[in-house]
Amino acid sequence: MVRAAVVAEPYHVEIRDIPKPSVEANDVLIKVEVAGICGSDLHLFKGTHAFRKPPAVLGHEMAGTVVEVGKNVKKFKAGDRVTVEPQVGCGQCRYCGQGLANLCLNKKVPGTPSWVGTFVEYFVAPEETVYAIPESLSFAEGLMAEPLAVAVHAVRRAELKPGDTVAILGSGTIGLLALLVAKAKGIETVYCTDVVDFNLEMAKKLGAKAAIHALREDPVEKIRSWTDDVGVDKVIIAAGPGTIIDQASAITRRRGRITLVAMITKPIPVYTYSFVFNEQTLAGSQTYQSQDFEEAVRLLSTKEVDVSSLITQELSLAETEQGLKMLADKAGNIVKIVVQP
Amino acid sequence: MIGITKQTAAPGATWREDLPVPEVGPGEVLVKVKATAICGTDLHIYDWTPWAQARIKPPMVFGHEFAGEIVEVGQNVTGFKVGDRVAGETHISCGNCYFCQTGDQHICADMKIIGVHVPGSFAEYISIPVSCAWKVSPSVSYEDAAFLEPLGVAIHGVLSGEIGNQTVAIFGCGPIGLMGINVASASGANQIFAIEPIEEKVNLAKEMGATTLLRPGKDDVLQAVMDATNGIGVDVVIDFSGSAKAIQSGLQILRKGGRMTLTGLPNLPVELDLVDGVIYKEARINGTTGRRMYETWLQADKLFQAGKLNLDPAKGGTFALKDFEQAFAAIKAGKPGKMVLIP
Ligand SMILES: NC(=O)c1ccc[n+]([C@@H]2O[C@H](COP(=O)([O-])OP(=O)(O)OC[C@H]3O[C@@H](n4cnc5c(N)ncnc54)[C@H](O)[C@@H]3O)[C@@H](O)[C@H]2O)c1
Ligand SMILES: [Zn+2]
Ligand SMILES: [Zn+2]
Ligand SMILES: [Zn+2]
Ligand SMILES: [Zn+2]
Repeated sequence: MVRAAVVAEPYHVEIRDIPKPSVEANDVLIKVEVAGICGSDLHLFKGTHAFRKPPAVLGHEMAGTVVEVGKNVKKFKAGDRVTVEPQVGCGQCRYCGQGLANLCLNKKVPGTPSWVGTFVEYFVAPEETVYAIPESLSFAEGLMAEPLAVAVHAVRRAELKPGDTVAILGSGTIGLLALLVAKAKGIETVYCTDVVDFNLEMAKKLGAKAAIHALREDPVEKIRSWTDDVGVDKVIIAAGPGTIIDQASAITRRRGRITLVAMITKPIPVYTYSFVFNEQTLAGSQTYQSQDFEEAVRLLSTKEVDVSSLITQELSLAETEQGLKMLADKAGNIVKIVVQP
Repeated sequence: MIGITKQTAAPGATWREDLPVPEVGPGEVLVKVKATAICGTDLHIYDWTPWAQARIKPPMVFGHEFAGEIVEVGQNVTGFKVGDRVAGETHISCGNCYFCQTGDQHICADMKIIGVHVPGSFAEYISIPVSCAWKVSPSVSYEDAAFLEPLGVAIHGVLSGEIGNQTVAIFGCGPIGLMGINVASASGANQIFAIEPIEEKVNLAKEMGATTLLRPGKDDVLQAVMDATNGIGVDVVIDFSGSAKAIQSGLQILRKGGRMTLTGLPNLPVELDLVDGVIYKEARINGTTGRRMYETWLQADKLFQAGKLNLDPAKGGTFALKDFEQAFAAIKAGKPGKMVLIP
């Protein structure tokens, strides 16, 4: 048996013993050194997640040490430091055929009946989803490959070009990581917004040209005034209040592109007239493709992207529920909370 | 000359026989209007809706979809001569703003519109900047040429992404939706679902190349599209209705990774399910407005030259200019197709 943090019912986490996973021929058994709390864990915690329903083991972000490998595994051996891309495409559908496992019609992800979550002592993953991380990275930094892959993919969906002006709405984990990726790609002008001073300070420190408090100031007015009333070329939405799409449209120039990463879980009214009149594009960005995960591991390994300041809290597995509540209430200066099973 | 004006700030329009022929300024051409079509914008002006009240300064001739013959050429005009057959581009762009300077003058930040900001085409003559004149070949009738402007709206929407061998759903079978179906068909779309609640209108889509006709309210659109696409959904959705329900239904039937183009103008915010509709699908939703100047016009020329377009089903009726009240009444009565006025 191994210990796991399970959402037993909405708003209640229990530490339970679950069976130790078996290691099949293509599998890697990993001792989880750290697992990360992400917004989707909050949705599971609150019982609002689209397909992860209690009771379920939390988590899809992790880094750890290989303890055992299946007989067909070639790339890894016991003792290796690794992180995992938490999705496995079916390999059969038209999307898998195009390398779009993120759109797979039948994909496997952690925290569902087909794959346990990462808030466990030992986690099993197929070899193809496992990535080595160098000694120079802490396990917590290694775990950031997952949210960083989300940001890499979103930035790719945003089709940033040299010289583009960019606004990132929301400076949480994903917003800040998107800022880092955009900067690493040579984008100079990135405006960030948030409603928490700590996150705004982080955005400034990590290279935002300006960080706007979305409630104390009007991001539309500010950004339009800084762009000769034209608007920015690209917007990435990484925050989910009900007015954010209209705000993004008003900030974007005509024929500009808006990329939506934020999970806006309830239907919201959108003034689509503005997209028509301004010939804007709204593109959804769903997790990542393997190429994005690889790129995220590369950016971390080469230190082109330094995420160390984003890891703000380290808790024990027993403190998981507390961590979820802290994140839900934004109690304290929080970006990424990690848990050590 | 004869013409129709928005005479006062009130509903209706006025027949006039005493209008002065417009002066031909430098850089302009005087066009004898041979055919002019009625657009939704003209209905706003006729009905004097808040949209019109905010923009129109009576008295003024309105109308903006037209074709005719050049009868006089102003100073500094090159490339056009008396006798040329032309269709009108509605947009007068400023030439100086960010968008004009970056090749997107059709979305100029300081746009003037014929028949809205400057006198329009519901008259015997109209004087327009040469930038609004597009030469049409003698093989295209004046009536068809008067449809080029709204046809351009349809082309710009349909061709704003891949269309060849795609499965396409088009919402709205008004004149632009019908022409959009025709353009999709002419451009090699694989399957075309025409979706429109009004029976008479959706039936016209068949002649335009639609392969399946669906009437929301009567048919289960989601079920029918999923059945016909192995549960995947369509590659492309194009909205020419501006209806909130259409946009919502469009997002449901769009396949993962698909393209949804919005050309119809909704007047109220639309409730959208962004997680299922946009993120999980990685949908790309793009708005289009007007026509590209002049890429879209060239595309229209090519489609015409290839003999691939048949605009007849999109024609609702032809009236003498003097009988404009009948034409407006026909539109209000829900008669399908676009009404054309002949001065
Ligand atoms: N599409 C995907 O594949 C994918 C993957 C991961 C996360 N997400 C989503 O992306 C979004 C961002 O993720 P995160 O982990 O950074 O979440 P987060 O909660 O840490 O970040 C959201 C930030 O938005 C700020 N905010 C709230 N209201 C705002 C407003 N009016 N204007 C500007 N900022 C405002 C919050 O203070 C917070 O800092 C979430 O909605 C999440 O569900 C999507
Ligand atoms: Zn995550
Ligand atoms: Zn698949
Ligand atoms: Zn028109
Ligand atoms: Zn301009």
